[in-house]
Amino acid sequence: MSTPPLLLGAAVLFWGWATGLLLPAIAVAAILEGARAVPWRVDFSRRDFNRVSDLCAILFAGSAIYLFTAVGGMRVVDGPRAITVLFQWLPLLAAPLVACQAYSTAGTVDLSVFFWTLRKKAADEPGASSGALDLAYPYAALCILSASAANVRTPAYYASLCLLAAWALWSRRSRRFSSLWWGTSLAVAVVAGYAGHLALHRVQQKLEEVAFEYISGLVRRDTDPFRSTTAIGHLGRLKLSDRILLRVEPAAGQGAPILLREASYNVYKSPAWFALGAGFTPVQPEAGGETWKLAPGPAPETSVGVSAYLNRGRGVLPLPARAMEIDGLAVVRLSSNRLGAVKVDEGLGLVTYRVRVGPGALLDAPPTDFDVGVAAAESVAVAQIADELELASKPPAARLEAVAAFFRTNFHYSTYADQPVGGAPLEDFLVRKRSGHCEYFATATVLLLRAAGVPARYATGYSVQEWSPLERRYVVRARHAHSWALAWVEGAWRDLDTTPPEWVDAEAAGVASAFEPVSDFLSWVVFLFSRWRYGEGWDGVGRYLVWLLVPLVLVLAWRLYGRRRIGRARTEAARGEPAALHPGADSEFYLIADRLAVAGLGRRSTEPVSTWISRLEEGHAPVATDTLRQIARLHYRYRFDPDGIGADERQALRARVEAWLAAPGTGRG
Amino acid sequence: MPSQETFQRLTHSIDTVMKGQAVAIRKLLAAFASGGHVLLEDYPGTGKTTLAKALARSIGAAFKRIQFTPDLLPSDILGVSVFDQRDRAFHFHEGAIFTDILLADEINRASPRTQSALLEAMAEGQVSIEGRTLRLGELFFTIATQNPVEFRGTYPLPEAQMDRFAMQFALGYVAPEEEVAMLSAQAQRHPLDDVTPCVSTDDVLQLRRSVKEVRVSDELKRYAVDLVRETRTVPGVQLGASPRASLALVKAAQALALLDGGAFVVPEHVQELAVPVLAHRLVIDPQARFSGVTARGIVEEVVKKVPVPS
Repeated sequence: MSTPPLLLGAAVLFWGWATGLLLPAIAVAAILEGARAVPWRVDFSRRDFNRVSDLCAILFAGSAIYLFTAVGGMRVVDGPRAITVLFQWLPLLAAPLVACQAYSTAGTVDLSVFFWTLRKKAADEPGASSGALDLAYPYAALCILSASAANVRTPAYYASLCLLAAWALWSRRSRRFSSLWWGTSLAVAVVAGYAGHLALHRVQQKLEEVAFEYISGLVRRDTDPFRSTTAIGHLGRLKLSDRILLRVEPAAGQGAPILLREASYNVYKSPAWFALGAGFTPVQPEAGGETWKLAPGPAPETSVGVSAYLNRGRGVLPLPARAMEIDGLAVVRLSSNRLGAVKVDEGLGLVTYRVRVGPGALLDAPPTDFDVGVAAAESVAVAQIADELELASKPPAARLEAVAAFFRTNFHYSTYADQPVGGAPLEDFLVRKRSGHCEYFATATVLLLRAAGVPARYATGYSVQEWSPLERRYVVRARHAHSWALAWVEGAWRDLDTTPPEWVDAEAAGVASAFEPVSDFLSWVVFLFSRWRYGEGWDGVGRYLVWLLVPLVLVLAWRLYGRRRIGRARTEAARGEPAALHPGADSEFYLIADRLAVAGLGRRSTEPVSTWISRLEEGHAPVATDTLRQIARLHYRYRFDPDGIGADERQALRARVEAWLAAPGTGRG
Repeated sequence: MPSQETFQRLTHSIDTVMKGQAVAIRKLLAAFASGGHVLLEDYPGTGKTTLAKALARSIGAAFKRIQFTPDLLPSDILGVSVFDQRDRAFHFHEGAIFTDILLADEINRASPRTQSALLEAMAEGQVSIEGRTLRLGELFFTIATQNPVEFRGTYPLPEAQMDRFAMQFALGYVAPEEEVAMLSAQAQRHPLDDVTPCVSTDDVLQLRRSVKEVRVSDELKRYAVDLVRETRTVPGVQLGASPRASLALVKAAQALALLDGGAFVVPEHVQELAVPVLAHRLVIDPQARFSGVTARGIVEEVVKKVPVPS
């Protein structure tokens, strides 16, 4: 190995200390450094290296599977932490390959071991070499990097890193400069590195802030059960994404509910709806922990299944009207308010539940004073329309019908809002423009009903209308977000959706893209993965996957060691050429060459001696070049004259070299 | 005359004519002393012909020159039999090649057929005409000049012909001071006219015998062979240097060693001669040539790659 003795072992031990895997680290360090002590080497072929490399890759994949899937008692860490742990394990996973290199006669690993393409090439042209790599230094670097994943937040990490780096660099330093120079440069690098890491940290913080702002502008805002800011009064086109948010599965033989409500609000203050007097109270789970009763009474059979993503395990659940009971909802805490919003306070990233729907639901409390008021800004216009429709004279049920008919005949749907003509936006909508999106319709309906004396609320949620042949269930996209009115008629809340039905197509036309099938498919894959990840369906499969690795590893080990060949390395014989070609190899001139090489002034292998001396002269090296030339002349005669030199000249060569070496300041830098 | 003095006289004599061309003269004499032929390639007007004539005049040897032109025929070089009316017989009239020093001027302007007339003479020192083989003089030495191949009206020399030349090198432009000195020197009369023979043919033959006695260690022979072999493996080279190249390299190194007053060859001599002896023998892949690879560059790379004995 090319690393100085014990450096690799020290790096491995450092890694073990930092990650808490000290015992494996001691074993790996002992194996790697032990290679220096043993006299034998194994003659691994390229195919053997390939197998060991494959073994490492399989160990890596297996560890990844294990870390990400192991559950219950075998679970080491959860989700994102698993990546860090996997990173920490890397030196252990790569150890077999490095150990093979350490004990191999080659001492290096062919590059083809790492790349399929190079392997193919190597198989096609057996003679060709694709370049060799010495893994010793990269492995030491890997140990240090992996140790960083342990996140030891003490100065010890940086100190150890500097120490190990200095150790490696010391053995490779240029002898041309004094150790003082070397030390100073290293110190500068260490300080610069420390300052750089602080600056980098600062930059990262800044970037994170910027990125967070950017991303939070992109993603869907969680539904706020206390406040719903509408786009009423906004100019320009309303943009909604195509992303699939919910998946709805009605029970066999039943149709899907048309609307899934998330929350309702009772007070309008343009441009937002507020829910006043709507504090949440906890809902207690039934025995078993996954059934939540929202209203008393026996659970009806009619049910609908919903899958929804929850941001960080919290959020409002979309529910069909008159929900009585939620089944199979695996969350820790659930609460509801008197306006019919049901909120998960602590749960998982994806929830799947069945909602049982009954006739006598009491989730929504009867109307209060909040449900009848009309704000001053809109009251004139609303009263005018209510008068025109003669709502006051009709029975309550007929009032709803009249309002629906009014919007159906006189209005059309538009996601585009141009310049306001004058007055409040809602007045504009009701009296002049008569076009807008669902928020206009819902708000106007609620206010009209209230003006007609019918208590009403503003509801937000989703409209279920798209059947996905791919998933064999209904899917609800972000653009299916909808709002409508709730009207209190004959002692119950009724949904009243006055938005013209063409709104679905209008919004689909706005965002439809050619990539929708692809993104839908990906969305489905993500959904399946999430469902599996959050512990549904394939529970506990991970633990069996781990056991699959055992026979795999055994087979690999058998194939590897079944073809083992042990050869004694004959390093002495291999080094250098036959001695017959080297008359005069014992010339003392080489002592000078060695001395100068130590000082960083060594001769290049393709440089003849006289060229070398000229180079020293031009570089103003502190070397007595004249004397050196004379010595070189004698040395050349000794080396290259087939007749050789006489005994006295041989003696002179020796004496001159000794004098040169003894002279002060020759080649000491 | 001792070999060392022969060298010195020749160097001095040529130097009076070719100012500032010490390196070229050194190479020329090394090739001349080792019995190899020389090809000078350079732009017109750089003194190729003058160098050749200066060498010829410095030796009291027969000197002939042939100006190669596209319509030159092999018989113009080798000679031809002419029917004599008086004695009713054919008489052989020797061509220009029957001389001691032959200057083949602008050799690449003749057709390959005519160029090839030189092959046998250069390799074996004999010519075969009309079924007879005639020996050339013992001193026979060809110094050819050629314009760069890219110039108009040139035929590139065949590889076999190239290989016959022990060395190819360029003269290059001299320093401005030297050029000024040259103008002054040629103001009245050409210095070439003042060159008189300073060594005899026997001296030269003696010199060539001495070169053969210069000692070469096995290690340096191996080094020369390693260099030559390495040129055959470089990517982009279609045809590497031949064993004849190894031979020429060692012989020229011997001559150079003698020129330096040594009795044995040192690695520096081999390295110095690697480019002039090897580069012109390489045939470069057209694709590599278009991407800027030159034979000279390849040999320089090889010298920088093969470890030199020290």
